[in-house]
Amino acid sequence: MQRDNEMSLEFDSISNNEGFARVTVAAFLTQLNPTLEEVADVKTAVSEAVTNCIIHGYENSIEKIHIYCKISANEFYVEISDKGKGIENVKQAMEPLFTTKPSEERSGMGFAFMEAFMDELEVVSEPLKGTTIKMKKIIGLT
Amino acid sequence: MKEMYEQTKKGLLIRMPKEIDHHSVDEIKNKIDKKIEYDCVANIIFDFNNTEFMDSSGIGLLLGRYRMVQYIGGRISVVNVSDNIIKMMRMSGVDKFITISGN
Repeated sequence: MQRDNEMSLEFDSISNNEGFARVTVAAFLTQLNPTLEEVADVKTAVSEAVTNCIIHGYENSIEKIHIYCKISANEFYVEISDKGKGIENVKQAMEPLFTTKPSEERSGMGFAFMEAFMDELEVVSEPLKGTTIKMKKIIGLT
Repeated sequence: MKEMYEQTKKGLLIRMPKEIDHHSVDEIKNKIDKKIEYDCVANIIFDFNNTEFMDSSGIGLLLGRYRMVQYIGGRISVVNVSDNIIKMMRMSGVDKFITISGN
């Protein structure tokens, strides 16, 4: 049995870093020998969460996004946080197709994809304090 | 390196990049929207042959272009789409508005 392993990452909230964030998390995940599909699922979920921090949390101002990952046995845990404006109504934000930014062609599918591609999703948010997305995925479930 | 666009009998073919996210979608939109307007493009075929990654930003891009061309009776189709991206298109319901073919 492998020992637990943790990783933290902090980077600027600019769109160039969306690719960096998901690829880095995917690289950390490879220790669990995930399938290509599991890697794709995690990359999409991370990309959605990071994009939310940039567009919604910080509304395109440049601040810091923090990612924390932990591997424990076959469980992969990832936490993505911003200290941005927070979400007034988390339940509404998580409804498929709901978006506060239709003019920017946001599809409103971000949370739906995170929920579909990960095994657990928790959203902790406080207006004016920020948002943390906590996700888990068991690797090698199938 | 192939051109990003190709005028075909079926419409304007647009070759999509390797990664489609919020970052790349902004770039793609800047490039294609002017062309769609100037050339009065009705039918668009997005080619996903080179695309390895997409998130919900890609869904927004497809829906946005659909809204642009639907007024003039245009159609959107996507070709050479990988299974995991087809899954996302179906989950979001864009398959009601656009024609999907896999690879």
